[in-house]
Amino acid sequence: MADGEHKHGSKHLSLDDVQSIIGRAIMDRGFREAFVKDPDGTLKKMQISTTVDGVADEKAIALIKAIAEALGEGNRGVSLEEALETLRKSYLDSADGVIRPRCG
Amino acid sequence: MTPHEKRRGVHIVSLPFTSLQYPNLGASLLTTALRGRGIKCALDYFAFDFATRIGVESYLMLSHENFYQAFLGEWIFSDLVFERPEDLDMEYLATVLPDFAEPLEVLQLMSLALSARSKTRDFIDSCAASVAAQEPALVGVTTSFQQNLASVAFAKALKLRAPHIPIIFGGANCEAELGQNLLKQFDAIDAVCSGEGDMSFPTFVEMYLQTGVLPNVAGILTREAGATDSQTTPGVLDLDALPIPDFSDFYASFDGTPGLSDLLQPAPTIETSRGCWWGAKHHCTFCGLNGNSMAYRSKSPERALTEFRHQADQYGADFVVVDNILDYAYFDSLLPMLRDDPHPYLMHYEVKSNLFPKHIDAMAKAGIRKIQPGIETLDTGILKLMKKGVTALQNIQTLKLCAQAGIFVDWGFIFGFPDEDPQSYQRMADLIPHLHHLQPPAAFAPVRADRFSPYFSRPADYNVDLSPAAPYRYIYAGVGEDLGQFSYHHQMSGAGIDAAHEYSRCTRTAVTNWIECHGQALYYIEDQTAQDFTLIDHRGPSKRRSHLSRLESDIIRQCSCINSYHRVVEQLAPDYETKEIEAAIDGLLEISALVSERRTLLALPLAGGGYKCAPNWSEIRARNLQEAGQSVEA
Repeated sequence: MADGEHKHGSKHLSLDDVQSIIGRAIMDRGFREAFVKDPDGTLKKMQISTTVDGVADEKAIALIKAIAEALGEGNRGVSLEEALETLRKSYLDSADGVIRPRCG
Repeated sequence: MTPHEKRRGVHIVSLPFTSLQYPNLGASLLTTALRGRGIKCALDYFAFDFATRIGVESYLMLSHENFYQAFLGEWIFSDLVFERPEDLDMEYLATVLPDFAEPLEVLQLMSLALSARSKTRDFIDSCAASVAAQEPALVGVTTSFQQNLASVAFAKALKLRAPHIPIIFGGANCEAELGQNLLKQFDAIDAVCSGEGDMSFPTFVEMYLQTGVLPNVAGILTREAGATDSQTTPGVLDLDALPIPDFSDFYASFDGTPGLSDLLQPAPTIETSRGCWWGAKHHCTFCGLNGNSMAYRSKSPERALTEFRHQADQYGADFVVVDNILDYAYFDSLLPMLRDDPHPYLMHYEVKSNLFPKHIDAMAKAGIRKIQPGIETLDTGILKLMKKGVTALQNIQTLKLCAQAGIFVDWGFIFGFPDEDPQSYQRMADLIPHLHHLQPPAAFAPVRADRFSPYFSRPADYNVDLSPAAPYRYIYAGVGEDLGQFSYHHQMSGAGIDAAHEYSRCTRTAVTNWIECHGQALYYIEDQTAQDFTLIDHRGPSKRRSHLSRLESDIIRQCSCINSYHRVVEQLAPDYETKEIEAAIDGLLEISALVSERRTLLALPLAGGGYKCAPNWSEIRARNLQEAGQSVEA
């Protein structure tokens, strides 16, 4: 059995999976809505598990929950593309581009 | 120096995450100094290569100052240095990142960071291969802020390929004990330049090239000399003696990065002083920026002007001045010189917030169109706790005068100072709606105890306990009790501030509203030449016109800058009864045309300058360019 693979063919959530989920959710509205509505069910369909030896992996579950909540926010208002554009404009308008801790 | 070693020379590298918009001043100074001594020196800005690999917009987003405190730039490279299980990374993404960004931003940052992280190993290997192929005699690595993990990963990769090439680290991340720790923790690092390296680094290089042995030079830590020796290089006393830095390497990298010029306009960096004259007398309790180099030194105005002119001729007249505080003597020397110089200067300076109209005017005319005055808060009691040496009303005056003059004020709201009065946050929440036409803060964030600050150095004096900021545990994973030796930013607890997030919530909400309505909220005198003013007040949702009486208009004139209540009454007494004046002041306070503090008054509506609210940076920039064009035509 490959590393991270479970008995029933599902594999444990990896950071690569997280990246794929976010990427697909941004592009595919249907997937996004399904994921927001039922994150666990969507993961099961993708044969991705958030348990280790039958025990819930709290960190993986917390991450999936955070992603679902953020996507839920996205469904209510500004699109991700618009958010990026707003931030880019804000960077150009107001930041001085010097990467440093702000003290004032 | 043997001809062979001299031919091989030195290679200095700058790794992500660092600015793509501004050249690295320290590395450029050292490169120029070495070249001046006849030593071949290359300067590689590998950050541009990484930006190309992950996409320039991704790079800009990941390194945006709004998310600086999440240390995403460090996290992205950290698993190359500290291997750890994925669940720790999941915990970082799920529990730490959301503290520093809104939900949508978190999602975006997660996606970008994971994508960027998948490209780090190949990137670092290619950097190491590129440097090793050139067989330099010695490699210097500059690391400041979020460059530490990429820099260590690079050192390890280079050491595997070319174990015979000594690697020396320098930059702000190597200051004092931070540098000692880097040398102690990572075998790939052979030496660390701690503090200002302008004199010590070229001497070290020259001696090494002559002997082939790492020499013992004050300010440079080596294992041979004893890594734990607290050697900090003496600061440069005569800044005029420094070379004018050569930024050609940076501009070559910038120009060679596809798509970057569509997003950013590069600008040269310049320093006219080092240290902090205010901090040398009254160290702001949270500030750690100057490390062990607080003593203030500045260039002569003539030398500074020569550098401004030289760089403007080469790269244009937009500058970022990296000084921690403007030399007040420059108001009567350098600033008039810049004003009279034909270059259309446009620059950023850090200043103290106790500015008067003559200072603002001098800055605007000299092209200082963006300032960072360290406003921090709008409560005098809290400003006193942090030893800022200004009052809340002075801060508001600075915001107002700068708005009138078309100077952008870059500032952040900080809360949670030891022993602060929780009630002050409700007072500020009540005040802020009246300031909506002024420049809002960029962020509302808890105060940190940065290394080298009084809070960090003497926590017992402030009754606080310190712990490294939350992201460090995930970035320097597995170092255990040594974590505190890597950390620069620290969070505080105790001294009544544990509930600060809760009791400051009202101010946070007020600040959020301020940021959201900025640009639409206006407050100004319709016709400043009129004897009786009309105020256009659009600070709130409805627009209000207030026609003032002659007396009220005279009070607004008297309070264009901070004025004492007593003095206003005295100045207007020949023409008005005292009771009349007092009643008029009360009326103006009632409609928030005036703000008061401890029997001093300040008028809030903007007058002159043509601005109805604090202009944003792009507006200021456009106007400056337009005025410069008109000046050239004239």
